[in-house]
Amino acid sequence: MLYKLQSSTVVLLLMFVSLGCGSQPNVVSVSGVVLLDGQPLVGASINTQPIATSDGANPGSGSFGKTDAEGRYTLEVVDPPMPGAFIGEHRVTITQSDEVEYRPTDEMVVPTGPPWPNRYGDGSLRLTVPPEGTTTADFELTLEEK
Amino acid sequence: MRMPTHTRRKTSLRGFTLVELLVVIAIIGVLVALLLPAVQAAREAARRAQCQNTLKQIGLAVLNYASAHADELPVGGVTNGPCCGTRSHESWSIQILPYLELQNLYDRYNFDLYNIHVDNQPVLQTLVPAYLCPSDEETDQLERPESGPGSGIEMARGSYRANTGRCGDPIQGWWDSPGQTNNLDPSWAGPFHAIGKPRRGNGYPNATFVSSLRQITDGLSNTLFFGEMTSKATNSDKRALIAATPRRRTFWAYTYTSYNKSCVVPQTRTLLVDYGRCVQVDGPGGSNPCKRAWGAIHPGGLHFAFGDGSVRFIQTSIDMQIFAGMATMAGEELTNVGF
Repeated sequence: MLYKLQSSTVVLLLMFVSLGCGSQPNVVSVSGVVLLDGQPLVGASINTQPIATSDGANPGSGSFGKTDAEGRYTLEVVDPPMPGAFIGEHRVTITQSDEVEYRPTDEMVVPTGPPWPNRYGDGSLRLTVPPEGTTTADFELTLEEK
Repeated sequence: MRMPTHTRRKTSLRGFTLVELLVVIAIIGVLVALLLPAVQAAREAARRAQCQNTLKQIGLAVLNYASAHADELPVGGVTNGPCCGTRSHESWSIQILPYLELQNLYDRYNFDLYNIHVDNQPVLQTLVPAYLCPSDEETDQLERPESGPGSGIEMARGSYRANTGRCGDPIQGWWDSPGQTNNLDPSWAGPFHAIGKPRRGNGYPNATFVSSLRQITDGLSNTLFFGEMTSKATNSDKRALIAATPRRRTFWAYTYTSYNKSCVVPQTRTLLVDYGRCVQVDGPGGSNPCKRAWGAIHPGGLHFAFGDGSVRFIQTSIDMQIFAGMATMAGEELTNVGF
C-alpha cells in the first residue's frame, strides 16, 4: 500500500514538472474573411506584426495566414509555431503573391496583372486582437483608392 | 532444531523489492531528465558568450578601420553591374582583415581581380574562426552558394552579415545590388550597402557612396552594423526548395548580393533560423526577404553589433518596426526604447 502511494507520488511529480511546458497565455485564436471589392480574395497572404506598447519593445512575434476559396484565413504565430496571434494591436499587410517557386537566380520578380495597392502592403492596416480572440477579423479592400 | 531457524533468518534478510527498485530508478530518471537539459543549456550559454565576443571583435575592427580611413566605413560590396550574375569585387569582410590580425590573408587577396577569380578563390575557401560563431552548425564544411557567378565554387562559411539597411515594406528593393535600390527611400540606407563599379556616373542614384561614420545621424548606438545569420542544418520538409537551405547560409568572402550582408524587412519571419520556413510563411516580397534574413541558433533571439561597438541581444518578439528603424543610418526613427 505504501509503495503504491510512493509510485503514484512519483507519477504526480512527473505530471507537475511537465505542467511548466504549457502554451503562451498571450496568444488567442484569430480568424476572419478578406474581401476585395465585395468578392472573397483567394490565396492572399495576411501578415500581422504586434505594435510595441509602453510595456516594452517586445510585444511578441508576428502571425501569418493565407485565405482559402471563401477568403477565410486563420492566423498562426511565426515563432514559436502555434495557432493564433498575440493579444493587442497589430500592423497588418495583405499581399497577393504568386505561388512560391524555386528560383536559382536572385532576379527581382516583376508581378503580372494589376498592381497590388501599396496601401495594403505598408502596414497601415490595423487589427486589434481582443483577449478572448476573434472569428470576425474581417478586411474589406478595394483596388481603387476611395 | 537451531539450524532451520538460522536458515529462515538468512532467507528473510532484508533486500529491495521490485517496487522499491522501480521507485529508485524513476527518481534517478527524473533527476537525469532535469539535469541533462541544464547541462546542454550551460554549454549553449558558453557558446553564446563566445559568439557574442567574436561579433564584438568584428565591430571593433570596423571602428579601427574607420579611424584609419578618415571615418569612412568599409564597403558592403562592390558590384560591376545592376544585378544577377554580374562580377563583384571586394566587400567589408575582406577589407577589415588587417584589423582582425589577418594581414596574411588580406595580402593574398588581389583587389585588381574580381571576387571569384581563380587567384582569389583560396581566400574565399579559407575558414576564418574570427567570422564563425560556435553555436552555428556545419561551419567547418565548404559549400557552394545557391546563386550567382560563384554558385559552382566551394567556399568557406561565415556566421555574421553586415547590415545594408532597410529593404521594405511596402516597396521592396535590395541594398546589396546597386541596380535594385532605385525604388528605395534613400533614408533607409544602412552602413554597408553595396556600391556599383565604376563608382561615379553609374546610374544607381542610391548606391554611389561608401558610408562614413558622419552619415549615421541616428546615432551609432542606435544603428545595426553586423548581425548573426545562419539557417538550421536539417528541416523536416523535404521539398527541393527546403533542401537548398544550407546553400543560403552566410559565406564570409562571397561579395555577390546577400551572402555576407542582409537587410531588415519588418516581418518576424526574417528572424527565423530556418530559410525554408521563412519562405513557407510567405509575405510581402515572397522569398526575397528570406535571402536577406537574420538568424541564430540561440533560444529566443540573436546578437547584433551596433555602431558604438556594443553587442546586444535582440529577441524575435521585438516590434519589427522598431527593429527596422535601427537598420537605417539617418531615418530619424524613434528607436530610443529598452529592448
